[in-house]
Amino acid sequence: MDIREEQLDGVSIVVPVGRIDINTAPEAEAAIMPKFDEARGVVVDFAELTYISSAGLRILLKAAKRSKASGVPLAFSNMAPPVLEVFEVSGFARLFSIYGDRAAAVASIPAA
Amino acid sequence: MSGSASIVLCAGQRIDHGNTAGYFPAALEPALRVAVRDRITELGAMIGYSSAAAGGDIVFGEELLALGGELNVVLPCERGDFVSQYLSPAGEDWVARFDRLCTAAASVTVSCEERLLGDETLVRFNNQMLQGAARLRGEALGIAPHLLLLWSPAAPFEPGSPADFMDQWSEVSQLSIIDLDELRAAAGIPDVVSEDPDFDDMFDLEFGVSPRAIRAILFADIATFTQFDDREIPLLFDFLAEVQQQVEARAKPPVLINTWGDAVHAAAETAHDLADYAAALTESASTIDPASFGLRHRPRFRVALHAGPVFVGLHPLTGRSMIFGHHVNRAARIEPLAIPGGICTSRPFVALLKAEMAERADEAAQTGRSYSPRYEVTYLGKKVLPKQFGTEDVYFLEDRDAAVWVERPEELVSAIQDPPPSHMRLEVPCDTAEIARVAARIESFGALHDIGDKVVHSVNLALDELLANIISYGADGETLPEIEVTVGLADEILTVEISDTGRPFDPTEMPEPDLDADLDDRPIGGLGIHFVRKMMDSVSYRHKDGRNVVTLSKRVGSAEVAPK
Repeated sequence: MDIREEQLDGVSIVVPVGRIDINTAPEAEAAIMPKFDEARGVVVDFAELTYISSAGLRILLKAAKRSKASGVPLAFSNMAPPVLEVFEVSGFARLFSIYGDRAAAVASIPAA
Repeated sequence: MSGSASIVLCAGQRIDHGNTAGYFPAALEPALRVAVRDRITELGAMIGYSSAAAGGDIVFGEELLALGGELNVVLPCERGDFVSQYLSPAGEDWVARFDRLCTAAASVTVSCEERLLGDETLVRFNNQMLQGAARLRGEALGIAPHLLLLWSPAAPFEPGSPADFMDQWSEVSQLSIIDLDELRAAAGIPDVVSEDPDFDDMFDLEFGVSPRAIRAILFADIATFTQFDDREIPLLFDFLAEVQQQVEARAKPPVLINTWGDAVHAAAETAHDLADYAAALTESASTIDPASFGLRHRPRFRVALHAGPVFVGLHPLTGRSMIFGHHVNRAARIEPLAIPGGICTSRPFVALLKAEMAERADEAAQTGRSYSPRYEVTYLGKKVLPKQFGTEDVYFLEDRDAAVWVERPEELVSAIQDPPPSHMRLEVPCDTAEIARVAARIESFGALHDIGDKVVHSVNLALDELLANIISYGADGETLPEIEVTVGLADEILTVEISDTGRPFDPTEMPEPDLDADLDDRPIGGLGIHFVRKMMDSVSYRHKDGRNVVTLSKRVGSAEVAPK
């Protein structure tokens, strides 16, 4: 897995490329968590993610907790339909803010 | 509304103890208990699998038992060692609760009869064995198992922790979480987690570099070896050279392989790697023509596959890599049970294989590919192993891709395995709100046994009347009655017993209400027992050992008795 990082008006955009599974989850965690101390909002863009396992989901849950505790909003974008389905079926979808595209996810974060 | 029945694998946060940071303070236990109780009811959990560390595991086990479920405890290491590592640090009270839980559980198994030695490998192996046990039971009963986490997502990752379970569980749609952080916030218990907890101080176990690793282990020999005379042995090795050529083309080489005469011992990192190797080995040996090598008989491999935590090292005499420990010896004891030309496996191997299959299926679903497992297993039963190695659940492994099918040994297939529990005992708190929970549990029991909705509905109506009566009028002064409901199914007859310690009262003595009387003349009450008589095939009462005991029975299935 590769992780690309971008910045847009103080919002951190994290783009995991490939798979988040038990082997790569720690890497994803290390990339996402510090953003809550640096940015006014965090967007995880799933556009280039091909697979996410429960280990990945665990990291996202942890990120959502951190977001709540720190008051730094977290939003997701560009989930492929099968990935979105996993989120919906498991009931996790309602725990997260999920947007169709990156622009919508960034726009959901209130200006500083 | 018809109920559902589920198999639940539970992983609970350990309770805070000593100098651990506060993820599960003792003050949170009552709130967790209520949440667990509700979730068990909601999920229709009738069968549970869990370890039994002080904390969430034990709360789950106690509540499942109180709600009439069947509990199966699986421990990572020898029991005394488990108690000193996972119970004693939290206090003697937890040790006593652990002992009571083990006594009441349907089964207590140990996945590795060795000491823990501060080793995360055994804990992780236990996690896999728990998953495997739940999956196999689910397959036997046609129910997909569910993972329930009693978890503080903020807690640090530890082998065997709920987070570890979540990572290893691929079916996200079969995952349910009770979030301890949220419960704590709702209960107004202050957050005592320090900003930067010192993880190293939090656990008594030192997890570190381990000489152990989980390996799939193969033992094989040529079952027909004695048929070959000395003159044929070189020809046999020529035959095996051809086998090896084909195996190399078809399967990944094992991480370790050793031979002694006709015996082969190999190990791999995944169950699939080793199954692929074993399948290639048996298939090549059964398709290459022995006559073209000058052999009069076909050499047939007898293959056994096992899995477990083993010590990994180099052999001091040969310098070659080796694995050793209890599970290596165990694998060797399983091998004589295999059928010539066939592959048999132990339960731990199947557990690993099934977990890998679930992961492959999940990945295929997400990436839009289709997946059908290459291997299929059939339970052959609990077999006695030679040389005092106890018993092992043995399975027959079939390769769907095989060109040559090995006949499944039908005569060895066990007819019955893991039947669903035919008995349920519920402790019912004296509160009318609990009647709905009892009804939900009866529905789940009905779903587990394919009992028709009509029968379930009748039983619940009868229970509603009788329980409401006990809860409303059973108190003796200040003392609330203890109430218990037991349900049993035998020979198509459902028997329900309601027993309570309240004031003696025989509902069967209540006069039949005059159903034809005018509204004004109708007494209030008395109708309840009338319903019960109508709904059930038989109703009887006795007063025994200070308890009222009402016994109801109802025939289930096709031969239902017509209403009276």
